[in-house]
Amino acid sequence: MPAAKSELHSTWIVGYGNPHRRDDGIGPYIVEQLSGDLGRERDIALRSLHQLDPVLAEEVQGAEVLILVDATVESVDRGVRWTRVEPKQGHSACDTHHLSPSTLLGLMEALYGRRPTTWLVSVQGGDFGFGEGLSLEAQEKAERASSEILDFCLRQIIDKGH
Amino acid sequence: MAEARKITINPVSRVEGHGKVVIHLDAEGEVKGAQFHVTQFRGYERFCEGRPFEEMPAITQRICGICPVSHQLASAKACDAILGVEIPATAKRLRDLMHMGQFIQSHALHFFYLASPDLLLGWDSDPAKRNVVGVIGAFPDLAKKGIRLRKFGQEIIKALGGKKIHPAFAVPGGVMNPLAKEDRDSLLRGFEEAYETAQIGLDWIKGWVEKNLPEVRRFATYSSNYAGLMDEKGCPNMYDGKFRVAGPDRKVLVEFDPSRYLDFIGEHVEPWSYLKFPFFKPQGYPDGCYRVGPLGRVNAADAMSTPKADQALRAYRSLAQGGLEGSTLMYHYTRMIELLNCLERAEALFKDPGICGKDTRITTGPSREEGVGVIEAPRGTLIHHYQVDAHGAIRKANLIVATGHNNIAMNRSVEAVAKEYIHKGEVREGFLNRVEGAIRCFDPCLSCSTHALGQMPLLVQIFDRDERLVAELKRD
Repeated sequence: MPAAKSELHSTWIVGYGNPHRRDDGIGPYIVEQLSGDLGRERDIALRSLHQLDPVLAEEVQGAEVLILVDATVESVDRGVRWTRVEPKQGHSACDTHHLSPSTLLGLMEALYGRRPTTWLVSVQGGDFGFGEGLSLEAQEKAERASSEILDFCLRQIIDKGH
Repeated sequence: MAEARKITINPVSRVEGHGKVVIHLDAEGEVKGAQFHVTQFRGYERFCEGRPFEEMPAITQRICGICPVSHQLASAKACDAILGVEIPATAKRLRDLMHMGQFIQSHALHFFYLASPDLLLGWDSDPAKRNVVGVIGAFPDLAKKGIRLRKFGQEIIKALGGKKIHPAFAVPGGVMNPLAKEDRDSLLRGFEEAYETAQIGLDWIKGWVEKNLPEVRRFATYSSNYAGLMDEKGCPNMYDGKFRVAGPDRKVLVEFDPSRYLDFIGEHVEPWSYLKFPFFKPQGYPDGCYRVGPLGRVNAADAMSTPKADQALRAYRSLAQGGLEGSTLMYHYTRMIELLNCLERAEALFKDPGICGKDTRITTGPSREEGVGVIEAPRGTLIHHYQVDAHGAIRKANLIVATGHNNIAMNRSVEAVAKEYIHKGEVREGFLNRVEGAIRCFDPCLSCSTHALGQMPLLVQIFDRDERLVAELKRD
C-alpha cells in the first residue's frame, strides 16, 4: 500500500473529538485554526479525527513529536493543560476505534519498537450537548491552546535551523 | 430432585455492541434452550418518520461507526427507487467501489483484530492476553499487516467520501463527487501489498481449519439455509442482484427481486430481545432459519466473480464438503475468500476507464411513494424500505440489518455450544470463551456504540427454577 504522504512528517498535530457535540470538537477546531499557519510546513502534519484508533499508530510511526489535542471536562488552570504522555505497557484491553493516548503509544512501541515524544494538550470544554460550534468560553481557551501549539512548533522549526 | 437453572453471560465481549446470553437448564441440568439477548433499543425506524427522504442516507449511516457506508448505500438505493431513476453508470461504479473499500476495512478489522485472538492465541489462553494487544505481542508482523490492510480500505472510502467514517458520498440519484485521477493512481499502487496480506490471512485460516478439523466439525455446527444477493451467474454481488435462499445442501430454494422481500421474509418478535427474528416465510418460524454474511453468501453461491477468489472457493469447497459448511467457525474462512474477492473487484473498478467520469448524479423530484434498497453489508444482507407522503416526508421506515437476519442462527450457535459444554449441570472449562467465540463468528453489530477488543467483565449466573441465584462466576 502506498505510504501516506504525511508519514514523512516529523511532527504530527492530531485534534480529536466529535464536532457534533459542541465543545467536544475543540481538537478538530484547533487543527483548523492551525492549518493557516502550519499547513504548508513540510515537517508538520495536521489531522482531525473523531477518535484515536490503531490505524493512527501506523500512520505516525515515523514521527518525532506527536501533539494530541482533546477536550476535557475537567477544570483546568487557564483552560489549557500540557501533559507528557507515557506508553501504557502490557496486555490491557483496547478498542477498535477508541484508544487512549497512552494505549496508542503502547501500541506503537509494541508494533514498531519506537514512539514519538508525545504531548496531550487538554482544553477545557463546558458544553458537550448536541450541536455544532464551540461555546464562547471554549473558543477562548481554544485560541489560547492554538497559540501555545503554534509557539511550540515555531520554536522547533527555529531549533532545527529552518 | 434437581432443579431447573438459568446461566447468564453478560456482557459478551469483542462484538459490536452489547449482548447477553442466558442458558436455560432443565431439572436434570441439561441444556433446555439458549437465548442471545440484545438489550439495547435504538428506535431509528421511528425517529426517521417525518424526515425528508433525501436526508435518509445521512441519517441512517449514523446507525453504525463500522458500516456507515453500507447503510448509506442501501438508503441511497431506496431513495433512487423513490425518485424512480437509474443512476448514472459512473455513480454506480463509484458506489460499488466505495462498498468494496467498506468490505476491505470491515473484513480486515474483524479477522485481524477481533477474531485473531481466539484463533492465534487459542480459545483457552489467558483472557487477559486474548485480545488484539496479545496478538501484537505474539505476532507483530501479522498485526502490522492487518492494520495496513484495514487502512487501505479506509483510504478508498476517504478518497471517495472525504473521510474514513461517516463519509459524505451517496445521495439520492447518485454520488456527490467524482473520483480524482491522482487518488485512483495512488490507491492502485496499494493492491500488491493488500493481496499479499489477504492471501496470508486466507492461507492461515485454511491451515487452522485443517489442523482443528474435529473442533471445526462440531463447533456450533447445525443445518440452516444460506442467503445473499447473487448476480446472474450465481456469484455473490455485494451491491446488487437477486436475493437467493439456498437450503442446507446448497440447492437454490428461491431467487427473487429483493424489493419483494416481504413475500419471503417474515419478522418474528420475542419478548426477551429488542432484535427481531427474520425467517424464511415458506418454512415458518423458527424452521426458516437462514444465515447471511460471508458464510451465507459463499455457501449459497455457485462461484465467485473474480479469479483468485474463485480459486479460493474451490479449495474451500473441497475442504468443507461433508458437513463443514454448517460450522459457524467457517465464517472466518469465507470472510477471507470475500476479502480477496473484494480486492479484485476494487482493482477492476479502479482500472475501469469510466471510473473517473463526471456524470455522478441525477437530480429530480420523487415520483414514487415507496422504495426498497438492498445491498450486502459485510455482515450480510441489509434492507432499507421507505414509504413517503406526497411531499417526500418519510411515513414509514423498515430496516432489516444483517445481525437481525442471523438472529435465529446466533441463538442456535449458542445453544449448540452450550449443549456440548454443559451436562448434568456441570459447566466445562472453556465454555464462556466458546460461547463468545460462536457469537463473534457472525461479526454481529448490535449498535456500534462500543467496540471493545480486550478483556471485559464477564458474569455467569446460575439460577434455580425459582430464579434464585445459586452460583456466580465472575471474570473482571
